[in-house]
Amino acid sequence: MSLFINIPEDSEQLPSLKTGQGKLLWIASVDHKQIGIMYLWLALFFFVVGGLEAMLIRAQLAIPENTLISPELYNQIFTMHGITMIFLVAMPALVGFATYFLPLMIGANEMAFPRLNAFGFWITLMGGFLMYFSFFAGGAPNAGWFNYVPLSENNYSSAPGVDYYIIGLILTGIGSISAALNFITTTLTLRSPDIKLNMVPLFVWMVFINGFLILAAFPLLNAGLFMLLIDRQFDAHFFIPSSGGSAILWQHFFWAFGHPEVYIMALPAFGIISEVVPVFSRKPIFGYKFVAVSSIAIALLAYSVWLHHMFAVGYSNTVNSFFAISSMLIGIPTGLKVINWIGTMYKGSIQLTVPMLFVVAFLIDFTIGGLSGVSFAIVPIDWQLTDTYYLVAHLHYVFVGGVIFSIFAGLYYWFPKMSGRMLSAKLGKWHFWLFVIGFNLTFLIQHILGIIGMPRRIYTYPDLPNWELMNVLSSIGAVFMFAGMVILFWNLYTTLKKPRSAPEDPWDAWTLEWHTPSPPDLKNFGEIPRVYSRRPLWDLKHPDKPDKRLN
Amino acid sequence: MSFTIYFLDPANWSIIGLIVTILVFAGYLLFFKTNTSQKVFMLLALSLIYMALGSPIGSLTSFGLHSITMLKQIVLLMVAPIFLLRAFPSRAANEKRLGSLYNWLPGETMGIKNTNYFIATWILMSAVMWGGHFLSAGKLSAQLGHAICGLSLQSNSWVTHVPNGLIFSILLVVGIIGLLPVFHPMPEKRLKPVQAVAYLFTACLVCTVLGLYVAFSATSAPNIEAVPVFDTVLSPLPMSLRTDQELAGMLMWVPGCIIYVISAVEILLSWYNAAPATSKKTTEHFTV
Repeated sequence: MSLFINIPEDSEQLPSLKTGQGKLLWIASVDHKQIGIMYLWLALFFFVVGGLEAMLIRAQLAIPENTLISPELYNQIFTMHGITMIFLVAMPALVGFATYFLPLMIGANEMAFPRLNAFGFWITLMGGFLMYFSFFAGGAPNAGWFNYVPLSENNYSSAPGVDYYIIGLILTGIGSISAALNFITTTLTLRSPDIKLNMVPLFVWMVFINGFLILAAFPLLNAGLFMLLIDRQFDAHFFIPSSGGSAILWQHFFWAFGHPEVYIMALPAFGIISEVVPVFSRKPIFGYKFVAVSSIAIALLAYSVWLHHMFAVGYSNTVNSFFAISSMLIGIPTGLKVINWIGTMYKGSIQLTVPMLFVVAFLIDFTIGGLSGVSFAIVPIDWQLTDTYYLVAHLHYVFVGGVIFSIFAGLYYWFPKMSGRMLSAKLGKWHFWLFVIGFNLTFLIQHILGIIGMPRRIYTYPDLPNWELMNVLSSIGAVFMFAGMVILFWNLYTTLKKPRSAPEDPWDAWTLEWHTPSPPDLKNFGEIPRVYSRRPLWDLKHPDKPDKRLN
Repeated sequence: MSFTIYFLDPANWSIIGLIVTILVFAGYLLFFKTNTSQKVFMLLALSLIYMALGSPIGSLTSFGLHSITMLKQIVLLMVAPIFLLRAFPSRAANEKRLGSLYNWLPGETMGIKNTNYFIATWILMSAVMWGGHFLSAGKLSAQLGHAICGLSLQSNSWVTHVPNGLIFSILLVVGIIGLLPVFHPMPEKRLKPVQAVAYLFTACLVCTVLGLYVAFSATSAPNIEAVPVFDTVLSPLPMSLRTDQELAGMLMWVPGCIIYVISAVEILLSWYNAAPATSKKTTEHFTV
């Protein structure tokens, strides 16, 4: 059985904005580039929504005993903030980049299943809007982004918000699964015949591995969600202990999905970093094989660590010990990647462009998030700090420092290719500094807040020593981040108004997407250059000193 | 009795087992031309088998420890076969001696290209992983008189008549057969690297599910707390039935998976290191 299956291209002209007129083509288009951009717009839209929710949270928490918003609304806002940022911002942004660039990076003209690709986008959008429609239908979900039972059962949450949460996440989950199927199949069947699987760009490799993670993780979530829906709508009792169900079972379902979900977001983010670092260090990636192989190790180990989210449940020391060990083990391949990126930068001719600045911030802040994550693998520390602001700080260092910074790096890096225009570097640096300083101001201090005992998810707090000061600083940091985002949007707006002027390969990069016009035509490649190594454009530009041939 | 006293007591070490182990290793050294790493792998495999079956650790099963039964299963089915297969040289190095031996290996005789063969070895290994576990748990239950891992058998149950030696032999042989597609001594008879990783990954899922079942069913077993810790007080490793069962499940899951993960990582690293095949394509560009 060969790992390359040559599938002939579809001769039918697929609908696209580039083939006809009319706004309906925005809906009908199955062009992977168009869908990729729509995923990114979706992510940006919900980033605004989720960001405003975050600002409300920080405004409420800026001073003690604040009554700016009610406890009921606060519960809905922090719940929707979590759901939005994970399922409607990070996931769609990463899927968007993969949808746009995976075919381009492997020399393909389209995704393997173009219509499934469009279906995945629209169902994700539908899921997102459905969840937000709950605000107008009796109240949004309010049981936290992991929606623990029995709090989310009818007895305690009789409003329909939780039902919208369930159905919305089922829909976005189906969208993610369809995207994963497409990524795997496209990588296996549509890459240029020259490109062996161990030659693909690291972003493609990470998205490919990520596809399997999604295929294994999201059905777990969706199964749990369906069971909860049956509990709520048909009076079943899968998760109701008083009727013989198990509340812990929901936690198992959720976290068996939830921890791999961290890596589902992290792996493509690592892929972006692995593309940006070599280009702006002017060196090939240090230890390609270790970066690639450690992704497999992460994917496999990701399923053996979920119970560290449940140490406080009260499992025995035996069970906790093994999960603690496996949680620490997964830090090894992740740490290995960080060493590889630093190794790539070492003695490189580093260009501190905006994407590279975000990479540097990523390396620092993601490492902090990783280290605080390792501290949660130590059971007694977890018992002490779980459900405190230390946890809030940790997860934001992973999700924002790790994932969102990578998305920003990818956005600045690939924007010229997608739009044909260069984003302003000056505004980009303003965005970078405001956002990164604001982020660290907001969340670094929350480690201390958590250690001194501030619980998460409280809508207000008493005037205890230092709590107000730290919360004010945290809220000021959020204002910095907000200002940074305003600058990003201004940068996008002003850049998109300019005429297209970006060259084919503005960064002097090495992967195949930079061999197409900016933006690429409907058919990505009229002619694909022969590929002999992992840096095909380097070989083309430097025929006198090509990379080692791999095929 | 403390574990140290128990462990150091010569009566708990099988002298016959030790002699057999040494003889097998000596025979291996005499019979095969091998390099140092292959010798080390053989030594490791034999040492592990001896530790599982002939050492005081192996004898802990007589105290009714389910976790030790699981440990034996992991060693015999999942670890020792890998080391054994890696200890044998490829046929090219030992054509005369190994030619007939390798003809008996399933991959040779059934046709290595046959996908059904891989499916069959995978199913066989998975079935024995689960079946071996429940057989051993059943035997323990019949021996102790209370439920082990949800099984509660009478002392005169048929499973008590199944010899331990037979179970251990089946585990080892099936372990070798099941891992042949990945670790066949002749590299050309192995699955391709990515396929081998998929094979190991799915095998990993099987041991994961078994480990999870064993570990978490301990919490829901109603009678497990009814058996007090003094039931195992004579054991050098006294622990409650619940702890024993959780330990059994966790051993199968975490170390079991890590074995496969390490193997998968090693295979992929070799794949990345592999020298490129000579390209037959000569045209400079091709149109799509």
